[in-house]
Amino acid sequence: MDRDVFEALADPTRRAVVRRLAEGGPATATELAGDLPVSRQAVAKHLATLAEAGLVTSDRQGRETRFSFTPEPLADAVSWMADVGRQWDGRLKALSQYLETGEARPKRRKPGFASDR
Amino acid sequence: MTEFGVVRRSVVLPAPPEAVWAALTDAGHLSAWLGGDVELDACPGGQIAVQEGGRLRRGVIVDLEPLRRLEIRWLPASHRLGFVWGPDDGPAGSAGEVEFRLVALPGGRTTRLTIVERAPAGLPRPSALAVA
Repeated sequence: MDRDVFEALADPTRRAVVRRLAEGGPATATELAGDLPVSRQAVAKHLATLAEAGLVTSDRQGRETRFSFTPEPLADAVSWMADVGRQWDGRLKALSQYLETGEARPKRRKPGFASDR
Repeated sequence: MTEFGVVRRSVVLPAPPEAVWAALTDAGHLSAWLGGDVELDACPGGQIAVQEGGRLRRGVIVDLEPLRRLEIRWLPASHRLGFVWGPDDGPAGSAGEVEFRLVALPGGRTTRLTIVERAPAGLPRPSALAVA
């Protein structure tokens, strides 16, 4: 998984490809091009990008290559957003309280960490 | 629509921009409200180190416009050689960017602060995301 999931899904056509694979199950590039308003060549390019991000895997059977949606990296991306959002909610609350009262927040350190410096 | 890979928060803070700016750029204030240890050189190109909840992050101040805007880019782990790593100090948060934008609100006693954090390229695995 080298390519950024967010970057891969920033493109509306790639999102359409993912939606089609998630809803309709595995498909070939030709089938996808038939379902979506893009050329087979463009679909192949988008599939390669999605594969780099780990969102799509390919399975070759004879002359046919079928692509499937693999959602795991998406879950990672969503949990990143949820975790970072939660952290900011906590920080901004602490900042607001500090500006209001001038009181410092207790230090949250794990035992032994201070000695690492 | 929510922009995928971007976390955005906007709050109204009970202080004028001068006080909010100080809280964001003065190491003593930052350490106090974050509940961690912060060192920073508040100028463009200046370094920042944040120890928060047992996790250490290092970054560079990419851009700074006093009382208005502060932008920090977190350094990837590979840029931290020679640094002592904390127990939880994995790749999480070691790249990506965060931007702070301040707007004085009418009356001058409150400030709207907007933070925008952009995901690092090559998202860390959930195991590395453990929040302290």
